Amino acid sequence: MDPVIDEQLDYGDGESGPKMQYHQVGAIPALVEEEMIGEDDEYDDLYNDVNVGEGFLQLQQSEAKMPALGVGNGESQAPKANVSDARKEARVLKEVSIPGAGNANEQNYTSAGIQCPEQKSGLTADRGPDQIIDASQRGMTSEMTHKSQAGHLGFQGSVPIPQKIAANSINMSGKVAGEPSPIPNSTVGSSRVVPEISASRMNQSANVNVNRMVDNENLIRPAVENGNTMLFVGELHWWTTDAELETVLSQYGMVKEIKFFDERASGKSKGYCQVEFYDPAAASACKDGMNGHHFNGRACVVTFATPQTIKQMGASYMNKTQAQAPSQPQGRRPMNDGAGRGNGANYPSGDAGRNFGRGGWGRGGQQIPNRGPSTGPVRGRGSMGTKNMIGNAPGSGGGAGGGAYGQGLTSSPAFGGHPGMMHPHGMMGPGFDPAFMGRGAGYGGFSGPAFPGMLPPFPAVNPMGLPGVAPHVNPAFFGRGMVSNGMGMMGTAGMDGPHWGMWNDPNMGGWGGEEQGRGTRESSYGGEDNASEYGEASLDKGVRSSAAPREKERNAERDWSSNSEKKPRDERENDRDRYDREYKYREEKDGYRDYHNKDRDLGYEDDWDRGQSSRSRSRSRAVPEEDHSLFPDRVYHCKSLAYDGPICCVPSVLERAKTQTAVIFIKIPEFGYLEEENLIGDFLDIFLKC
Amino acid sequence: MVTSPLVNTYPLASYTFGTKEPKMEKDTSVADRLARMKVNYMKEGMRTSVEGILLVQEHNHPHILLLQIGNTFCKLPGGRLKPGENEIEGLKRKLSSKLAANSSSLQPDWQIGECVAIWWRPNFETTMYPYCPPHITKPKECKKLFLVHLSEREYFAVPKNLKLLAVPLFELYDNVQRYGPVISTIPQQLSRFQFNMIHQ
Repeated sequence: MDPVIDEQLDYGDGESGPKMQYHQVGAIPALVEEEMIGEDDEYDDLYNDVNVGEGFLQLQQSEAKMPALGVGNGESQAPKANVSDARKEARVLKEVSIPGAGNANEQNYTSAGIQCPEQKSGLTADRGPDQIIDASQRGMTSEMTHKSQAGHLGFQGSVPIPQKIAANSINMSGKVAGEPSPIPNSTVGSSRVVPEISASRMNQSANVNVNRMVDNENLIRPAVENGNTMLFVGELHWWTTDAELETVLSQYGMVKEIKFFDERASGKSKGYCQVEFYDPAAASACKDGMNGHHFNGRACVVTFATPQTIKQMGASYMNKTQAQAPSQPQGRRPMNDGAGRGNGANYPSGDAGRNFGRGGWGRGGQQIPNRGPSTGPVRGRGSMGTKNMIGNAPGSGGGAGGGAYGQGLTSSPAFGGHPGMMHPHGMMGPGFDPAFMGRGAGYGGFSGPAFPGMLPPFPAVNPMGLPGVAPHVNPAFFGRGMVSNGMGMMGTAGMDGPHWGMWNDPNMGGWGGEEQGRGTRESSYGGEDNASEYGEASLDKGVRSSAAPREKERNAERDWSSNSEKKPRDERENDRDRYDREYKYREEKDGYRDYHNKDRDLGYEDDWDRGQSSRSRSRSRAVPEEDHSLFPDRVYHCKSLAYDGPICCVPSVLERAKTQTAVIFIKIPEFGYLEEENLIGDFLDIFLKC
Repeated sequence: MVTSPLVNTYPLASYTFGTKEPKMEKDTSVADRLARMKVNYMKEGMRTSVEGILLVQEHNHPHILLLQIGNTFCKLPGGRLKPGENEIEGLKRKLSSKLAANSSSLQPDWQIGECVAIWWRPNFETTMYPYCPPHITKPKECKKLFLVHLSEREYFAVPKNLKLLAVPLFELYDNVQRYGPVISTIPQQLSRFQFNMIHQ
């Protein structure tokens, strides 16, 4: 899955209305000419008009309304009209041949040039004045429209700028021309480019910008598609209804379909939807006009939908970032990089519990939008995890993850200060099932199958937060991994490193099983997601089946343990499993048998642990004595003539020990430190330290 | 204190099962079904469907009668209401259509009990929820489950292409994968009832 990264919604890109508005006056005509090939005459006239006060005002207004058509269509009279106009203008200006744009509205040429800026700025208010402008422009635009008919969208780059330019309409128009229709964004992917470009442009002088835009446009043009009727509307509350949306959308034109994206498990809205108009002009108009519109007190974001984003949105069951996300990265890999970031921003804060699961990690790195606040103490761990997860898109998580971690870490000191561990935990891996999280299973984190390297820390952290859930998944699953880890924990800091490797492998196997369990999400019975328990149960099975491979890994790793017999090893594994569970609850294992389950709701787990510990204890004792197998990093007590005190073993020593009838070990100056000389050769009785 | 409602359940053996001509599904695939749903939605608005929970008793445990299509898919007897049709009447119609013999003389007198669950379908998809999600103002389907009180003796004629199963509640419970969210949660809906297991 695509790595999901919390993408900070970057509405600014597309819309940066304020930025865009940079007022240029004057120099534009020259630029305009560059871009407007053949239209110079008209443009000059346009500019003249624009410079006029009234014209200016009109432009401003029209800009506001101008649909993203891209070319600041002056006339925003009717959303549709505007859209088309804008487009036309764009076309004219640029001579972009955009097929299908085909809007009859000509007028806006001038307005387009002038008004482009409004597109995104979320000026939705004025529609009326445009008419005036339109009229004047009509004459001019009509000619233009013909020319550019095709690719109004080609302007992509210019779009952003035009909007801002509204004020500068005059100047802008020149620029706009170059950029025409960046706004419409109907072009797939191009829209993305535009925002970026424009932003940068804005900063520069108009001329410069224009030039750039032109370049961009030229580059973009080929990629632009005309007549994009699909939009994404994001940044909505989960209670914002489709009826409310439709009321506003219908002002821009006839709506063909509104499709909300909601969480499969609960049916709750994810806060964004896909809107399709019959008329591309309407779509453009809507994009320009409705962007930033407040629904229930929250400003929405409107962007064009590109084939890639549509596919991404539609294909994933997982949470996706808001509409913005897909649009932004166009041209680069949407969703993969920053796209994920958007998720975080998108999630309505209301879903404290639910949002955990949003991890669209799924295969392919969906984004984990979950920025959700960590809810209650029970979830403490879980939430922490989620926080970490935020922005941890596999693969892309790097940057995003870093940010998320920052949040998570700082907010969750309780984790016991294992920042390193957080990482993998956060990732949750692909296949993470939002439903699980949302439902409070808390386990969700486990769902991520396949993220190599991510798993290891997971067990330790995850179980904490999920009452009742941990037992399902962890037992065999984590036990395996934990075992090796546990050894490492025995007080040799230095040993931690090697163990990680073990984690990865065994865990991977386990995850695979889980993944299957999660896979049910896709079935028509969405309800499966609802019951995390179900998934968990299946996970459990999966876990067990995958336990075997893990075991093997572990065994291989344990060569030094001198425990060549399978049986004891298995037994030990079992012990480890139990211990692992306990370990889950604690991040830190000081003593080998230091079970102090933190406040976990898994009461029975505690009992289990206790029982286990005693059992394992006895076992461990038996093991060294009988098999003379000692584990590295475990502290033993050595009683011998030569030495009486704690000892620890190094692998090499253990190796040797295997061949000896007695186990000889080295005195340990202090835990974690092994020396290998002195006592070798002496026969010692090794007693397990309790 | 209100006593929990009583439901009489009779042993499976007290019922007679026959067969009748096959009643094929109108849609050959899920996609077809959703497409047809869309068309109907355009014409008639939100679809209301009703289904009946018919209970029998075996080994002192309630069993629910399910119609099995193919080898895996189970559904409750019921179906879509005609526009403007009364729910109870519609359910009786559907039950007869599915389970009653063709000859009108043997039409069982269906005793429709209370509605125990309502499920909503927010989009033209297969997922349904026991509530209408807050952002949806126009759900596409509303499905109501009614408890049906069977009398001691009944004759059921099952279409040849379907199988009528008596599934114990414990089999449904917690079994979403197999039965889906609507059917697998019926035990919860029925938990408040008191079952009078009548033995013969």
